Amino acid sequence: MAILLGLSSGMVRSRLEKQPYRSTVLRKPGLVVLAFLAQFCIFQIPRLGITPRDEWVAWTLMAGQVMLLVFCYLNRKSPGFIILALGTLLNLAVMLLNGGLMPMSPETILKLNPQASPDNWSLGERLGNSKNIALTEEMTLLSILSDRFIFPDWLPYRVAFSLGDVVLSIGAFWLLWSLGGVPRNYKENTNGQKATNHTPLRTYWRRSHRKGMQPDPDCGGN
Amino acid sequence: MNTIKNVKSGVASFIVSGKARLVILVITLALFVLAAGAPGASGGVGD
Repeated sequence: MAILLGLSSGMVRSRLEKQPYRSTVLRKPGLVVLAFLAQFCIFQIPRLGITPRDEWVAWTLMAGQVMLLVFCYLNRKSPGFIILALGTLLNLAVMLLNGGLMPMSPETILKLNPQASPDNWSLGERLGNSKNIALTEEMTLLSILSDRFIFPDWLPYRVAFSLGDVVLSIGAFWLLWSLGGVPRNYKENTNGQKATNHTPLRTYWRRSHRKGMQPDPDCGGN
Repeated sequence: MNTIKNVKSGVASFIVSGKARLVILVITLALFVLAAGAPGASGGVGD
């Protein structure tokens, strides 16, 4: 949802500012694909009749989060990646402190699914084939960062999310929104003409754009 | 033969184009959000 919102509002912004909607070249996107595939596989294995041990799931999740943090570090100069890293860190912190899985309280479980039978889950156990573990607020370390928020009843999307997830969404939105504006570190256009020390970069970009010079799509903004 | 060459050059120019970069960016970002904070699956609760 944050991605769609960020993309659409970024494009509206680029229209309003009469700028091209830019893209940015990501470094090592394979890390993200690897992290996603590892998680996808560990959650799909039960379909093959193999039940992965909870430790495997926890280690896969941890390794994935570390890969994502490395990816954020490599792309830290692009807008939004600091926020994305913060969201990932918040989720990683609460998972690390609670056995490698994301805690969810019985209250949240019942809010999500009031018909959930207590036979299907027990405290301290992984919830079905999910990344969550059922823990009371008292049992949870840093419970403020656990999966404790749910969408309002009028929304059909019934999932729990954490503060880290909210921060992640803000980061994704910020990245896509910022691509619709003028890059702050724009220094050189494709004609090789550099901005003088006296020309504010944003002004320089606008002037160059008005003159019909093609902006450099490689130039990422902060 | 020329058609194949045209298709190849078309694909190659798309891959390095701004649109392709944007598609890659959006897909990577979507995978990132899913991997970093896929919301707690309610399916596991009610199973």
